[in-house]
Amino acid sequence: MVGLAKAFGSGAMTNSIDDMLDASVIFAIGTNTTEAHPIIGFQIKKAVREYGAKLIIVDPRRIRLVDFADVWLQIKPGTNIALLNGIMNVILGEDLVDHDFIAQRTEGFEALKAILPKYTPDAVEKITGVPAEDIRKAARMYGAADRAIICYTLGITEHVTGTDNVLAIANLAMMTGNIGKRGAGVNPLRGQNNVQGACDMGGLPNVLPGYQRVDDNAARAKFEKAWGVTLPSKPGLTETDMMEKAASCELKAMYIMGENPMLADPDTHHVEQSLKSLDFLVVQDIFLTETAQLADVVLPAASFGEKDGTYTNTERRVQRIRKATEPPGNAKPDWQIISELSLAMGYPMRYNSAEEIMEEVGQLTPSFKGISYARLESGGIQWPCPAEDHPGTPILHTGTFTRGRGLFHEIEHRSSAEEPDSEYPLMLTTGRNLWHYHTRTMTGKSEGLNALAPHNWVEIHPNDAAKLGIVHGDMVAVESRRGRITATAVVTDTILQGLVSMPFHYADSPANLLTNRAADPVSKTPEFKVCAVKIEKA
Amino acid sequence: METIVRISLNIKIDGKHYRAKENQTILEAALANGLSIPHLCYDPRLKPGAKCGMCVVEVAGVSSPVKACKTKISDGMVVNTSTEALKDIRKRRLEEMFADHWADCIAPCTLACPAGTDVQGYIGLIAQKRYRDAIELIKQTNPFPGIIGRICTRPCEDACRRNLAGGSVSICWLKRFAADMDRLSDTHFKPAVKLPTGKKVAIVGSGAAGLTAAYYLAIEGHKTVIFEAMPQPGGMLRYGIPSYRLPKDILDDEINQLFELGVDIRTDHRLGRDLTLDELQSSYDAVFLGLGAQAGERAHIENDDIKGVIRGINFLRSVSLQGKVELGKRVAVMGGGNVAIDSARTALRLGVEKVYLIYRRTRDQMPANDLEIEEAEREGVEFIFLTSPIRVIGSDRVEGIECIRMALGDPDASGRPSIRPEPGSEFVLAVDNLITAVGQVVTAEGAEITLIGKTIGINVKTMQTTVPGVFAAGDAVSSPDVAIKAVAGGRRAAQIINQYLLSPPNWKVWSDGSPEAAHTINQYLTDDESSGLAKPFSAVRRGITKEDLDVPSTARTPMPELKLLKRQVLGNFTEIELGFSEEDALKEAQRCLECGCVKQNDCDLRNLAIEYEIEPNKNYEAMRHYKVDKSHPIVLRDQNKCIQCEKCVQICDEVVGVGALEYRKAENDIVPVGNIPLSETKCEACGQCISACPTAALVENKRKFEREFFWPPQVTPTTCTYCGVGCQLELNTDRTGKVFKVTTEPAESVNKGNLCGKGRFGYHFINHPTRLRTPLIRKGGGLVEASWDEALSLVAERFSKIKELYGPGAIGGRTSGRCTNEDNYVFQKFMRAVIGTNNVDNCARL
Ligand code: SF4
Ligand code: SF4
Ligand code: SF4
Ligand code: SF4
Ligand code: FES
Repeated sequence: MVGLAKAFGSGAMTNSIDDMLDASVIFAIGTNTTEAHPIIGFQIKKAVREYGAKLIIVDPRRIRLVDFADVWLQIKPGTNIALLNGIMNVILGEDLVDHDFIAQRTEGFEALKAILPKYTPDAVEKITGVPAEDIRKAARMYGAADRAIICYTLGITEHVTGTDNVLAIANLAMMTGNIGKRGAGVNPLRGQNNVQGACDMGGLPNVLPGYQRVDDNAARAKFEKAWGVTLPSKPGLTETDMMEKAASCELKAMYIMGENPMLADPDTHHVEQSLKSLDFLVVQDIFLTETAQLADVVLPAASFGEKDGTYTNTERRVQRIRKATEPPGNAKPDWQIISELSLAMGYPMRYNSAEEIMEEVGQLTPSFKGISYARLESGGIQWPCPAEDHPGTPILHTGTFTRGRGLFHEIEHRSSAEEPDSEYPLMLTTGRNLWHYHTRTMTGKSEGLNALAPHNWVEIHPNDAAKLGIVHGDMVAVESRRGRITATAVVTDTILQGLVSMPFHYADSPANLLTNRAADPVSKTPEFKVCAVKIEKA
Repeated sequence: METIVRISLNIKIDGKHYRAKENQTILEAALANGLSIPHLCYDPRLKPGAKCGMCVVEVAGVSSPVKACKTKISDGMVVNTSTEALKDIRKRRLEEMFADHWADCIAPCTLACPAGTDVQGYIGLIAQKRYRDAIELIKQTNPFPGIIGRICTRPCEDACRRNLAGGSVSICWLKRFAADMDRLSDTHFKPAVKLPTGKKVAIVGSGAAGLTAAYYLAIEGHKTVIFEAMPQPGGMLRYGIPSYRLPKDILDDEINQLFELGVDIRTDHRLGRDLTLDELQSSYDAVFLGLGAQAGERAHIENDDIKGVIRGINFLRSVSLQGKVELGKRVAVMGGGNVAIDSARTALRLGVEKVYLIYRRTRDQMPANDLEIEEAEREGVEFIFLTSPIRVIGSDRVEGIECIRMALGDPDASGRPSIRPEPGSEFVLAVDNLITAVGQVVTAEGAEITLIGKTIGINVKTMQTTVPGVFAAGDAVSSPDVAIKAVAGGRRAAQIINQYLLSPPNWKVWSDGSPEAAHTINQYLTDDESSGLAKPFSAVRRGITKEDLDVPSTARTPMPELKLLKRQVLGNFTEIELGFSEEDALKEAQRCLECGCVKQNDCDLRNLAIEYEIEPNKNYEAMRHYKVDKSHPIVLRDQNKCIQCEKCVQICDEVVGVGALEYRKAENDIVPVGNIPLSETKCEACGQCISACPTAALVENKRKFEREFFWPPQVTPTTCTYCGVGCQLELNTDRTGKVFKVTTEPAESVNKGNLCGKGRFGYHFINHPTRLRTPLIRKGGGLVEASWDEALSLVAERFSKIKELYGPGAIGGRTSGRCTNEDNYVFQKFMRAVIGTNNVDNCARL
């Protein structure tokens, strides 16, 4: 979420899920919402059907929401920036720009303006495959709306150009004044229950809790005083860097909590090689995952049903989780294991409960100051919540941006790191399906959910299938420069010709064996969404 | 949106003033003010469908009742929600719904149990291997599963649906199995006893009724003392049932649990001889009479008062007391009940060479247990049917009996064929003894209470005798009957005595008004009334066939037995039925069809049926019969239970936006769109329809027994652990801590009571057997189990070493969007403060 932080000063969803109902236009780009965030999908459908909102969908696949859309821009993967610039070109040309907003609240618009002229709808059609007329239609719809909300997820960020994609979206929203009011904003929908919280709590190499920078001396001093230690001021390694440095033996040990990079990270072979190069690997999880199987020490953790705590949802809402049962065997809550380990290393952390931890967070993090378990009893609170009597913040950047003025960036279209060629003629995108979650360590345990989608599949356009002599239901082999897996062919015209798509949930057919670890230079998000593959009958 | 709630309006509901928001419907306003108006089709997530008609109310100035769920309030509106006319409308609507509701709320076995024991529940618990819990559930209604599990006549098994497919489930043997398991376990079930109330209750008689009443009264915290005439407690259980059927140690064990509860048992105290009712009344706050019916009735045949003629019940008692009774070589037993069979088999064991059992009807009509009859045959008892003894031959002792053959005639009033003697068919049987087992009567000496015929008269609602504060139940009230009915009566009496002791008697609560009514004794007791337990409301799937059940036939798991041939019987009073092994029991439990409705405790429809005192509809032929549709992996459809409220259709369309279900007007049916299997529609398996359904017409398609049998379950509100929306949901856990269901409350929250399939059905991982339970350490290539100390000191040592050798930057940490804020905070603190590096990142992007 680096892009948004650069443009606005905060990387989080600017508005709330409820805002969908106030929007006159919903612009959903790269989010298969009904599958990844079904409840937001419900909300969008409701907005469209009961509140008269217009819906613009940008997606290479005919996702289910397309049935409710006014415009569907079936885009070639990896060409979002061209498309967004094309839309801005039209908005600028037809003067749907919010001049007051730009003048009063932003900076850098002139530079952006300078690059837009070449992104005419016709030029953009050639890059994106989206008809020029549809681009104009979408631009007018979004540009003319008095409240337009943008949602996006992995489709946008999982690209080499991920940060740029987000910046282009921010450009579009600021240019039309769609920030800081109800029913508008730029809204990254978080895929996991508490990714927002992991970032908020300082689970990032460059910031302490509450996005207080590690190289900010005053912030560091505050934590040093509270924790009684000296803290490092140099930003640390990102996880992509960690993997690289592990492979090159510069990183010697890793402590992995609650993650399964063996399935979730791109280029599984590389991940395996990196983890095996480590001198010492500790994995803390609720199951013996593929990653845990490589560990030197595995620590058994309590699941969400077995501990107290909080999660922060995609709209920055901090909500309670509560213990419903005992952890199995000797398993313990993660925080407790870490505290005990800390003690074993000579630094006692004396927390008696999760609540005490949240008290400490509140003391050290201004945006969490007003959040306490007592208050959470009567419902979640959206940060920033700077005081006990503060109601929380449903909409960010209302008066000013977190960084002061919103910053435009000139973003140009670049091609994907790996384009199809004669050897690997198809483009693969990976995604999620409705019934499984992430690496299936949890949903795979429910018989019913398993029965709905027991095995991996690959979606392919009928024309491509015909060329390859593949019929619906065939077992096929999907191969990239990095690996080869098999899956069942699902022949469907909901997908663009030249493109194939697979979910990444399955351990016995891991799509991430194929994907590319080329990462966005700024956010280090690997390019999951696009890589070149070939397919043949297995 | 941004609806600005302008003014709040004044409304009056049932005579009280409330404030409500403009634009609310009457129902919403009532609910917001904490009132309830019956409703089945209202759901805050949906537009008012107004289909069920339960929410009718009267509005002043409006001529006919209106539906509260779709009528908006106005300022000053006056609403009445529960006039007689409205109640009638609702009642009629409910009756209409139940006229087409071919389903079982409560399982037939449970309904058939005189004590109302939750049979389906304890079989389910046994299937889950929760034996202690099974006993706890049983003991909610029957404190003596080890006894009853051996001797019950098993009306539940007669009612069991499995009879249609291979024979009834061996319910009683399963109960006995659970009791035996619990008995041998170190952590056997002990009920919690409430704090002492300071009240004292005297119980006269320690048979099934008295012991049961004592058990439940003691749990309530009353000081309970039992007075027993005989040298040992147990009544008929001890002195009427031979130990090859009910071993004395089992009996003793289950009686001994009363001592653990603080009950005092004073044996050799006979009412009328050692104490009087007046004495008891003056020193106790209440008295319970569980006198039983232990006096054998006279058979009234000619010359039956000579030596060698014994009453069956006296015979069994003497054997029990002295271990022996002198008999000749040939013995005739007269009667067809269990006492007759028990007497015959006991006589064999005492060394009698030839035992005849003479019964005036046919074998089918014998009241005794089938199994007992078979055993008696196997052991060598010779049955003589359609025969009656008419005269005992002999002057100072029995030399023989003269009998007459009986012929079957037209059915009598009860439907049984009548019998009449066939003149000229007389014959003589040479025997040395005649044991008569033709019935028992109550002996209520020493109690100045009114008898009705041969039994004690009570008021069936209050269980009180003609003497205030003196209650009675059991055989003395119902005439000789099966033990489980005495248990039921004892429990009901205990409930009533408890009320009587705790609050000054407000007899109106349980009787029909006047104080006198409480003491008016009822002349005739129906079967249910004799136990005093009201049957719960239950729709019943009458007229069911094997085809409807749609399961393969399986045979009953045989009971391992001590097989006794004729010659081995002598002196052998060891228990014949050896009891199920665990394997047998688990196999047998799987035969249960789980007939009772999965929603029986939280069904909106049934709750209203109870509130409005609807009678179950028996006209099953007029009901539509559907096959239960289990074809979808998540959504089970049982149209028999559908009331066509259309909530499912609405939610699937209005909220989910899928529209996988439709209502077909012509057939008045809900079907998947196009009437194809649901799994072939666009259904997303979100389960929203399940959450909306007011009945069990749509439920989660689960494995057998995957539910909790104690109600209510523990419900923990929490946040979904899947996507970033953070839906609010509730984890439902059973007693063992297993999460077995996810529910929601439609409330102000991000998801407003909605969930997706992952959130609603993805809970199985929590208690999955493959969860990590203990730390693991790599040793010699493999991961081996380790203690926390070992694991943590190893990690601490290695991290410290690496830090020392290569600097803190050589260690990296990956925290997680899966874990809590607190976990993440502590993790990064650890990396930064303890390791000393900023190498900490999470999967924010993945
Ligand atoms: S749905 Fe309700 S009324 Fe119908 S059988 Fe189940 S519990 Fe009884
Ligand atoms: S499970 Fe969801 S999609 Fe399927 S029928 Fe029910 S409400 Fe509709
Ligand atoms: S299946 Fe649908 S129509 Fe039938 S009772 Fe349930 S929600 Fe109502
Ligand atoms: S229930 Fe579904 S939509 Fe709601 S948080 Fe869980 S995964 Fe997300
Ligand atoms: S709740 Fe009003 S008609 Fe059903």
